[in-house]
Order: sequence, then C-alpha cells, then structure tokens
Amino acid sequence: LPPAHCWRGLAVAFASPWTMDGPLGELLASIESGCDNLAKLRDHLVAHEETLIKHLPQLDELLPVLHPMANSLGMIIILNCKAAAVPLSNLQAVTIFLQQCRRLLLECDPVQVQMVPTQFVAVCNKFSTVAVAIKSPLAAVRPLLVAATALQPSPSHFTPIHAEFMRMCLLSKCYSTAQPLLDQQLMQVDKDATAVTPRDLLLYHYYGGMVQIGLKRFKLAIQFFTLCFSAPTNVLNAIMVEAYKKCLLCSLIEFGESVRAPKYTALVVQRYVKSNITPYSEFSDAFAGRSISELRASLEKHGSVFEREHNFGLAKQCVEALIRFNIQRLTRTYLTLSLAHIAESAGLSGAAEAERYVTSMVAAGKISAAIDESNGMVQFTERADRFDSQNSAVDMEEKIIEAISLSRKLFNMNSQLSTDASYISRIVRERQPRWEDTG
Amino acid sequence: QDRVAGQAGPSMMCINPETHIQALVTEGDFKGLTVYCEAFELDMRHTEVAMNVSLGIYKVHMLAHMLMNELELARFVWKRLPEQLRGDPELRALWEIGKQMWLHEPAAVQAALVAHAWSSALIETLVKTLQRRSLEGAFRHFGSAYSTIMPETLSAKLGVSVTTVHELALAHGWVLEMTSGAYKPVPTEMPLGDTSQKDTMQQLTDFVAHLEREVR
Repeated sequence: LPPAHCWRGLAVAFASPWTMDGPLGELLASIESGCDNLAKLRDHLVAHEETLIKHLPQLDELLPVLHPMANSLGMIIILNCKAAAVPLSNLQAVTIFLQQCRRLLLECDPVQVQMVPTQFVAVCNKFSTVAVAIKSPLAAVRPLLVAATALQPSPSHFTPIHAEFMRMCLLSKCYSTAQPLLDQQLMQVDKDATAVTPRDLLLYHYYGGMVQIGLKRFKLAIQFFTLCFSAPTNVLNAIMVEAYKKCLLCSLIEFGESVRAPKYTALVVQRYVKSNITPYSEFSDAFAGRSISELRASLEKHGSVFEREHNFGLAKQCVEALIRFNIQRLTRTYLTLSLAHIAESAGLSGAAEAERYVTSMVAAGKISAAIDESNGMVQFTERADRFDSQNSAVDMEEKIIEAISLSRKLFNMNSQLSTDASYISRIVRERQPRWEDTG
Repeated sequence: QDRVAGQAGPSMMCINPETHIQALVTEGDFKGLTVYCEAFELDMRHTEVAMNVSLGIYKVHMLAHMLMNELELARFVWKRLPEQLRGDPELRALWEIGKQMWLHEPAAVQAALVAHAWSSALIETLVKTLQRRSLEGAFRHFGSAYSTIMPETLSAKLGVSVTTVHELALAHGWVLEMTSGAYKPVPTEMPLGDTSQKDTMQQLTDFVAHLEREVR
C-alpha cells in the first residue's frame, strides 16, 4: 500500500472548496493531519466525542471529505457518534447512513480499525440493523466480510463481526459467500483486541451451523452446533438450546442417531434437554424405532412446534434420511432382494419408488448395488474402492498434514498457557499446602 | 493481511458486464462465471443497471450454478431474486430446469430444456451445454445402478428417444444382449491418476520429524 500521506494528499485534492469553521473544523483538520500519530489522534477524538454529537447534522458534510483508507479512525468515531442517533423510521436518513458505512467498511485500513475495536463493532452492528430495517441485508454482506477481516489481528482470530456477517448471509440467502469464512480455523479469542463477548461466539456458531445446513454440509453443521451448546456456562442460554435442537435433527440425518453430546457439556444444558424438549425427544425416539410410518406420525404430531421453531424442513429431511438408512441396513443383511421387498421393508409405496431410491443412492455412492430390470431383483455388491488411487493418497496426505498442524497449534497454546501469569499464580496457590507440609 | 478471496478486482468493474460474461462463456469458464455474477450481486450493481441487463445477469448466474452442478446455490439465486423479476417467463423456464435437476428427474429436465424458445444466442449456448452434460450425467448414473436394463426403459427415464439411448450405449461400450434386447451397462472406470514423486520426499521428512517430536 502507498504510505498514508499519499492518500491524504488525494483527500485534500478532492476536498470541497469550503472550509469548516469552529470546533468541527478543528476536528476535521486534526483528522486530516493526524495520520502520523494515530494513537494521539484516537485519544483526541474520543475526548471530543461530545463535540461531534453536538454537531450531528453537519457530520453528513464532514464524511464525504474524508477518505476511508487514510482516515478510517476519524470516520469510525464519527459514524459511531451518528449510529446512536439514526432514526430507523426515516428512510432517507437510514439510506444515507447505510451508504456512509458501506463506503467506510469496503476500504477501511486494518491498522486504524484495530485501534478502536469497540467503536468499530458498534458501527458494524448499527449498519447491519439498518440494512435489515430497510429489508436489504444483501447490501451488508460484502462490507461486513471486509470489516471482519480488517478487525482480525490474525486470520485465526474471532471477531463479533463474524457473527453479524453470518446473520446477514442467512437473511439474504447468500450461503456461498459465507463459505470461505466458515472454513477459516478461528481459534483465537481476544477481548481487548476485538471487543468480543461470549454471546458473539454462541451466535456465530449457531448461525454458522444454519449456513452449513443450507449448504447441506451436515457433519460440519453438527460440529458448529456442538461448539455452541457445549460452551462452558453456569446459566441456561436460549441460543444453546436452539443449537441443541438443530443438532439433534442434523445428527439424525447424518448419523442416523441422536446427538453425541460431549462430556464437558454444561450440566444445566444436559438437564434441560433431557426433559424440556419433548417434541424433539419423541421424534428422535420414533426415528430410533426405524418405522417410517411411526416417524411420519410423529412429524405430524409435532409439526406445529417444528414449524414455529423453523425446524420443519430439517424434520422432513430426517424422514428421507431414515428411508435411506433402512435401505442401507438391508444391504448389510441381504445379497439379493426384490424391489418389492425393499419397498416393504423401507416403508415405501412400491417397487417403482424403491427403484428410484436405489438408483439415487448408488449414484450418490451411499450403497453399491445393481438392479436387474428383467426380474426386478437388486444385487448388493461390495464397494469397489481399494483406496489405491492417487485421490486416496492425496486425501490421506492432506489429513496427515492437517493433524500435524493441529498438533503444532496445540503445542503453542500449551506453551503460551504455561507462561501465563494468572495460570501460574493459580497453580502455585493450589500447591501451597503441600510445600508447607514439607516445610 | 490477505483479503478474503472473491472480491471483484477494479478491472472487472469497468468492462461492460455483457462483454465480460460473453468472454467467460466462450472460454467455458463456468466457475469464473459464478464468481463474476456473485460479485456483481454483492456489489449491489443490480441496482445500478437497467432491469433487462439485471435480468440477463441473473439468468446467467443461475445457469452457471446449474452447469457446475451446484443445485443448492442455483436454488438460492432463485430465492434471492427481487419480486418484480420473478415473473419473467424465461427466468421461470430456466428455474424449471434447475428445479427438476434438484428433484433428480432427468426426463423432466430434458423436457424443460426444450420447453422454451431461448431469447439469446448466449442463453442458447449455455442451455445446450447443460443439456449435453445432464444427459451424460444421468446416463452414467443409471449405468452404475443397473446390471440389466431395456433401452425403452432408459429412454423413458432419460426423456430421450430410443435412438439416442443406442448412440449413448455405443459410445460407452455397452453390450446389447440379442435374446432379451436388454443392455448390460459397463461401469465407467475411475482413472487412477499418475503418481508423481514431486513433493513426496519433503512431505515424508515433515511427517517423520513430527513423529519424532511426538514420541520424545
């Protein structure tokens, strides 16, 4: 990137010919000239937030003069002051604010952004609220993606903007745009650098899981939801409960069984889901019974609850999944079976429907079978994959490399933790009695 | 710090969208087509161009996803469409193809592909490519699931004439049994790929180094 003063020069060159008087003019001058000592500029602006708020209407004239790349700091603080006062009912004011935020977020300077995380997050939150208010969440997608990347001190840091971005993707149905961010390994949480709260993490994993469902990546959806409901807590959280419900349905679809909750799931969550999500528990029990008609009956019975909680589509997919699991079980027991028999065992309407399912399952690689049309018999064969192709080798290498890099990250985190002051003092405290014994 | 991939570069903004799309189609770069259309949508450019231009780009966007066999993403494009554009008959006809692909109904797909008089040469080209690919794909699917199948059955399932079935079977080396008149599909061999030795030594060194660290 060219140095900051080049951009400043551009900004001054394109600035409107009028000059701003009074306290606002002074602030403008300090923003434009403050590129060399950003920390001082930040402190100066934060101290003068009152002035900015007093001159709220003129802020709209101030913003176009500034350049997003060079003056991110100034623009963030100005927009933060505006954010609290934007009336959601005034369409014109809202649209202007939206455009101003888009302009800033699409080209902001990461260095300056990371100096004012709290204000930046507040601006982003208001931005997404406004976008939803005018029914245009699509307008917020690209800017929030850039904003999230700008706020991250490193590509593995989590920010509150990640959660807002996911929410906008869901509302605007831009599932593929969310994918690169979902595939990022976010493992660092830094409250001071990113103004993150536990709620942001819960929401990110909840929304992320929902995006994975949309992309039909059920295994990943389960991972995300599990991270959500198994987070450490002393208090029951509605987000965790909803994540558990969705995780349950995804587990039925992907694994054919109910949730495998980790041992460290908070007791308060475990106790709650045991007895307070009856529709889901009953549906899960019906699934375990392997009878399609029973499952369909359970779906009918609890349909209104599922519908209300936006899980009806998932529940319907569970019925499809059970049919497929039942057919898969047949392949393990029989060598040859007639289509009519398959239809009966799997609870289908007839041979024709069974033929459709077998064909699509073979095409998807879920079973290995061959239909003989002349006698309506299906022969189940062993899978032909000997795992000796180039693809298998590449796959295995990738998994090994992934395991090694994960191990390295764990080693680094362990080293960091062992030298952490609060950890050491806690260990020393706990060991204290023994030292006194040996005296 | 690397920006997340997928942002449209400044050069893409300046070129006429129709020219750019034509270039991508000529190269057969359908992935690039989806990237371009998505960037166009996220940069809010649909609000900046005339309605017929916007409509054209949405049509290409949907077709590109269908050509990449990304049926979920094609479905989401349909869901994201602004209300006023959904009524366009050609767009609805294109979505009908996508819907039948999503429902795994090859015969209905073939029917939908010819059900509309496509308005431009560009759409015509894309639809024809889609027709070839989906027919080929469906043919192979049925081939992998059947040990014996009558040409007439396959013709009905695929939504094409029996003559076309015979042509495809011939091209794939299927054998026609004279007595029953049924085909015995030959499974398509997946290529094993060449085993290149390029980075293997370096990788093996890394693996062993790691294991030594762990074992110690």
